[in-house]
Amino acid sequence: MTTETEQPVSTQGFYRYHDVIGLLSPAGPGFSGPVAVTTGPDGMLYVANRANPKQPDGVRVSRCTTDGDYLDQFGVWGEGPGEFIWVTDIAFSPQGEVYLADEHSHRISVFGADRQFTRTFGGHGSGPGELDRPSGLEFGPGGNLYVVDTLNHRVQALTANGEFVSKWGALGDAEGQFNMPWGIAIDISGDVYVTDWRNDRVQKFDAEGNFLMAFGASGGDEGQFNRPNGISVDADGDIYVCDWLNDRVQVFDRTGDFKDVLIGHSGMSKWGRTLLAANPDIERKLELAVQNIEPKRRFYRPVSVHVDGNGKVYVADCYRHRVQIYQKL
Amino acid sequence: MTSTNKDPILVVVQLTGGNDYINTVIPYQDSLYYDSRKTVSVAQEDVLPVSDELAFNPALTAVKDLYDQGKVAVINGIGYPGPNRSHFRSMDIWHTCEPEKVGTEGWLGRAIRDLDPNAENVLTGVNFGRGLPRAMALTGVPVASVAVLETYGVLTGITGEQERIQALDLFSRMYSPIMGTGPVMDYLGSTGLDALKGADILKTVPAQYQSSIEYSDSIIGRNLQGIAKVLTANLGTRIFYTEQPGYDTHANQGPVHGILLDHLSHAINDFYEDLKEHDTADKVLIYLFTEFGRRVKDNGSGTDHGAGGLALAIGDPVTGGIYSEFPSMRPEDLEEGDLKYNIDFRGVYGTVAEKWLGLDAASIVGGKFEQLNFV
Amino acid sequence: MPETDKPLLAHLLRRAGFGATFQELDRYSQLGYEAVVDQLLHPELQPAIEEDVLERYYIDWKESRNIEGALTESVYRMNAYAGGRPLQEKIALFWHGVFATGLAKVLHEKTMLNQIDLFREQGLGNFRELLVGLAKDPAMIFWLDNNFNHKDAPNENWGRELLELFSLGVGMNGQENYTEDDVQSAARAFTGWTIDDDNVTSFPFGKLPWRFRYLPDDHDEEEKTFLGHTGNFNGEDIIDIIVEQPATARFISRHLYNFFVADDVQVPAWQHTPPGDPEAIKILEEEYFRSNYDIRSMLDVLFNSDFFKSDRARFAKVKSPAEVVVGTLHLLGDFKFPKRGIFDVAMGCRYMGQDLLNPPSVEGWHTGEEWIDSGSLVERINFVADQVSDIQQPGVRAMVDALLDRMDELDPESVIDACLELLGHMRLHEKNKAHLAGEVRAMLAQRSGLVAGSPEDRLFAENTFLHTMKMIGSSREYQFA
Repeated sequence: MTTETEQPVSTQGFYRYHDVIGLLSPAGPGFSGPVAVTTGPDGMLYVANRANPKQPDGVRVSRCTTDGDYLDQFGVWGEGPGEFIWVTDIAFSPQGEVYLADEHSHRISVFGADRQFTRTFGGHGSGPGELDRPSGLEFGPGGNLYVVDTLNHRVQALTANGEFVSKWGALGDAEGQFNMPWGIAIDISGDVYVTDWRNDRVQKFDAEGNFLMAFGASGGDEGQFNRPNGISVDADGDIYVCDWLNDRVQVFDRTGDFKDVLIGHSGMSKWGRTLLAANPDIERKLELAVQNIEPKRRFYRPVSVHVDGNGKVYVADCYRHRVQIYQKL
Repeated sequence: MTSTNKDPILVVVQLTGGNDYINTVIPYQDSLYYDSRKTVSVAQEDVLPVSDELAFNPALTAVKDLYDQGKVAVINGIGYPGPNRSHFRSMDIWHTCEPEKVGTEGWLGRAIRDLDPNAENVLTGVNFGRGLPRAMALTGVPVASVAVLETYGVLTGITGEQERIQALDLFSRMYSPIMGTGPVMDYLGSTGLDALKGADILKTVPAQYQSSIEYSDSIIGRNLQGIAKVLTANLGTRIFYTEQPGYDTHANQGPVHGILLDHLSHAINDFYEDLKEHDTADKVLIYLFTEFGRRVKDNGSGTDHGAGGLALAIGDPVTGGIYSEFPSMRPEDLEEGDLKYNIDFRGVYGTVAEKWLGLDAASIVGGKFEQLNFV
Repeated sequence: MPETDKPLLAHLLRRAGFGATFQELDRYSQLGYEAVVDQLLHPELQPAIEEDVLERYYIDWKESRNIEGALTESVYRMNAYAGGRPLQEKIALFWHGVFATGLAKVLHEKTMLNQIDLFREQGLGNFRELLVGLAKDPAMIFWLDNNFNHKDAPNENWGRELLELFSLGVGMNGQENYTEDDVQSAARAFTGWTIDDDNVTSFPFGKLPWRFRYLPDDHDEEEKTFLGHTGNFNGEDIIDIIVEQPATARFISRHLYNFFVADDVQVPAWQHTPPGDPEAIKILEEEYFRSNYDIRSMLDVLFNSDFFKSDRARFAKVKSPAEVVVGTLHLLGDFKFPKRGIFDVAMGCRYMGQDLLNPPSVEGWHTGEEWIDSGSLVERINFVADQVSDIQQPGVRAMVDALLDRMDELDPESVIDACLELLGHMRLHEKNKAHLAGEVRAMLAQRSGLVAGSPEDRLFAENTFLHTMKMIGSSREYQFA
């Protein structure tokens, strides 16, 4: 029936495929266009869903255990206080509050640890503290929030309440310049990594925005990118980059040298198994799809990556509505 | 064709998405029901029994009341051969009575044509919703599609009262016939003027509508109230159509389905009471259908697309009761995990067309099918 | 001079595209008509839109899970290319109407969008190649059940529609073009042309791609007789015979005429009803053969022909809903960069009666005056009237500014003429113009209290223009292209 060719899980062997969590669903146990994944101070997995205009109910943040047991969801589509339309990223403040960025409403909404809406800031513009399609969010060790302010082609540092602290960047391809930057990660020393999306590179800065290094170029080879977006840095300083249009996640060491690549090796998820048990003909259809082993397993537009303290690498596999998990060895 | 106050009226409510049959009309004594639906089944102590075997979903309180008054017909196991589990295809089948090939003519379009062959009344058929449902589509049959009654019409973007009046006046002059401009310009002219006429007539409706009923706040409530307004204005409309979307409950079914049925129940109640207040309840039949039922077994959060389903007929003209057999849920009796149908939907349409509207069923539904006696 | 004749260029752009703004017409008139035709015929030489930006913001499109998403994407793309590659989009729309395939059955959005891409890429090329591409298109194979067409159990659906609707047509000049035996032979020749996986399920992890696959073991290797030829034909051989037929030349020519030149009778009448302009059809048929079935060459002849430029062809077509929606968006200059809101606009196309990517049947849509019924007419009128008077839109702002610059004196007829021109050299019947002039005169009479050149006066003039454009947009005449 199906013959599976064994692909190496990762080319250099630094990672082992661990599990997958997910299922296409506009509510409940499942995801709908997941665009951001992270773990919270409660140790749970938080996934922001972008859904689609026909299913605005699908826009929400889902919460589950890292073993794939569904807990709950929060957040509602809309333009009102605490609602969001085009969610892009989630970040947790040192106080444990949840921050969400919305690139349609150009603002950041804050929810308490109990996931109740508390406040919002931002607003459309190019002045200090104003935003134009914000995407990546991350907190620095000093407690400031760093926002990738995409159409202003800059990064802003704000207080946890949205007051302007500093900014750097302008449109361009020189060092310290950006072209529609997307994702952001911050390491334990407070250095800031930004995926410079349309320049197909990653740039690294110190906490004040002074340029430190850059790596990457356009292409499909090792160390090259085709529109990188999600980014994360682990405790060893290794840098994980979602190489979006190349459908892979590349890993680099602290100097920016290529280390390994993950291409997706998904099996079936818990929620998927429950669905198949209730739907015999879906199971039959999947089995018949002999030519589709590769697409079933591989990443299809990985958008966000997060590494936790145990070396677990979570990748939001956007068009497959799942989070694939690898284990660093 | 002048309308007499005795002309029977049909109100069709489409439950869009595939309403979950066995959580609406529940086989509450059957352990198979609870075993198959560990997450999604409705607790036995909550249901509203209508017989030893079947009960309504607890949210359908008003429908249960009407049932007790003998005004609700529950039509079990309705479907067609070779069930299609795709929303669009299955809905098309229900709209056109063509399970085998793709049809483009709606059964209600045919009914409207038979009721008003010379299209004397541009409001014989009225849809509350945007676009034209295929069920009402037939070349040459005018149908008004009203999104919001109070703002229905041409050039509704013009908000100033005086400006609007002037613009519509100009519009009607610019759409008046001009000799020698050809058949297409003529057709556009008459169509535009028809739309204007319909809008002119409909705009008088809100002001003259009086009712003590406070409709509950929901999409279906608003649509049924809109229908009530037009219906009680006695404009000669014979067929109304509307939909309640949202029944595609693959996930989170418990709360979602409950809310939908709650809204539906209240809306039907408010609508019925409104008709009674206007002394027209005896001439209105409400028919509810959906494009398919859902799987017997749940998927852990909701249910997926199924086959055989449920229809309801509600109103004074109805001979209440349970019609047709409730399908067996035994695994060996299922078709790919779904309930089998035992009455062809075209027979139920035929019942409505013939016994209620007084039309020739066969030409409307495309053949002779077993009819029932609920009206 | 005919080459820089703007009303003619506007007519060309309405047909080969979705209309042109007044700034575009200025540029086109510098090039001259023939050069513009040449540019239109080579959309591949114009820049592509930025796919990465599109995918970033419309992140649900690439693997859209519902018909509405695919419809929205189609409307966005038509608008995005309405300036730079209008004929690419128009020819895709043309072929989609001829090779009508419906998402309601296919239920695989990406596959359906791939079919439209086939029309974008090959729609102006060789007709034989296009038919072969169509025969291998997974959406088409599934739509017409060719995946159930087996050596030992043939299914005629694709074979029949290929002849009836996609190439020869049922008949010509009162004669039938093929027999039932021909249908069966065609069907047998396409056995084995299938897809590797026709299963559609969104669950658990989204839909999986479909690919064409040829199964030689399932292919009927017996002799077949088709349109008088005999041999062990495979699908491509059938297509070779088809494209040689005069009936094919006639059928394609009539379709091109009906879509690009003037509304004619609907397709089912073509067997017995001659074309409205037999000379024009003859010219197109000759080019079909002369160019070896090249659509681009046929369109080159068509757009440069007298019959296309003649007054008889002007406003001789009722706009399809796609043209109403995209034509309006293009005029407005809206959605040049991804933002929210395109979904609701695109759904207007459905409410106006054209559910893109989901035609009611394989016969496509009924066009011409059949686009119009009391429901769709109201949608069209309200849509255009609302959009065309929205001064926030860059295109409307530009038109109003151009009007303000030109208008030293506002008199009703000049106002109307100027608006008609900026809306794309549209026309109003003189009687309707007189009605409208009466209205404008009444409006202008209220101007007397204002100081000429003051902000209030300027605002008054703006509102007069907006109202005039709105009433033109709501007119019967505006329903024509």
